[in-house]
Amino acid sequence: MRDMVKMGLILLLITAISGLILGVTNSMTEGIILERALESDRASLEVLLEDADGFEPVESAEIDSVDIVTDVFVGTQGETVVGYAVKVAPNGYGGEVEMMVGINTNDEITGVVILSQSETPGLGTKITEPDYTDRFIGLSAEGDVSVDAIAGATVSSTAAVNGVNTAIALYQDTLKN
Amino acid sequence: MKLGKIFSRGLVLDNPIFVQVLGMCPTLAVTNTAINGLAMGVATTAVLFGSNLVVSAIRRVVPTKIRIPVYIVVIATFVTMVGMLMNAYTPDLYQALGIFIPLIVVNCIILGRAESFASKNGVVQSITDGLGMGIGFTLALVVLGIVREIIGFGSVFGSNLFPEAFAPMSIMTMPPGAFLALGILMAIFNKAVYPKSKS
Repeated sequence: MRDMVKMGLILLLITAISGLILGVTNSMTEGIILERALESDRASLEVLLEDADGFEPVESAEIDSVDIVTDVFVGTQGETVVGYAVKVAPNGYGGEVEMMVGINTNDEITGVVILSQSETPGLGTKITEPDYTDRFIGLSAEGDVSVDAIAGATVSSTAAVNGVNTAIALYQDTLKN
Repeated sequence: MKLGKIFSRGLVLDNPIFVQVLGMCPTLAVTNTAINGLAMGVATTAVLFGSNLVVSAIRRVVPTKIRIPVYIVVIATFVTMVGMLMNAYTPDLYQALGIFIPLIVVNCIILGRAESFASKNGVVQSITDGLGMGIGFTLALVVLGIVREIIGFGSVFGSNLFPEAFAPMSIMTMPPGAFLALGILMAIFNKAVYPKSKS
């Protein structure tokens, strides 16, 4: 019995120390990681909505109610809205695939950028390459789209298409009005 | 045992990849380019260094019965730290290695060294062993990455070697290519290091 208590205490001590160290590391790196994420958001927005000169996050209860949509940005040129960028996180093969889908006011997809993913290196990671993401450019955003999947990466490709279709649905149902 | 001998054993005679054939999952998965192999190797070496140091330092305090959970906690702590630091300072590499960074926790080289070496030896020897094994692992990954990148992409560390007309064999960038390259490299390595071995 005494042995068990002693072992429990040692384990407690070690996990407590490791928790402390991780907390310190996290507070050191958290800011930098967030900052980089924001910067890359900005860079992706500029690629997706070339004509826009300003970007604003869009917030509404309707957006929050849609699964896998994380953020929505509106791109404006002066006073006029030129398009929307929807950030979605569909489930891929190795977890969530964070991606941003650009849709302009002519109901066209302006592009897809994969922000972060944990897909299989060499197979699923191909969805990040322009060779794949360019397949979405110019497609009509009036209804669901489909593009050829990558051989050997069906789940990752399906995730990307799901993300795009979710963005389109949100655009048609909510943003457009 | 002399420190130099401990170090060189990890590097060559007991090389974790070519001789012990440990940690095959990251080895086969991330070595499609030399830089990925190098990053994976350095990350693993950092974890191995830290975990060997701590495991050896606390070896007299930890009861035998709970040593495995303790080692896992120590290793997981270092892996999480390395993951956070890579995410903050080298986001591109963090992206490229993806899920294989957290998976260093279950890399059997690390638990293997904690159990078979660091838990029985002093701190200095354990650090040396961790560095030897880690650098041996890194070298193997880099060599494998260079071979696969040359054949699969026609480049080394991202700079192109051949004129436009070169047609890369993309099978080398995929899992089957990893097996082919690893098998051949392993054969060459073992012939060179153990020339007299019969088996």
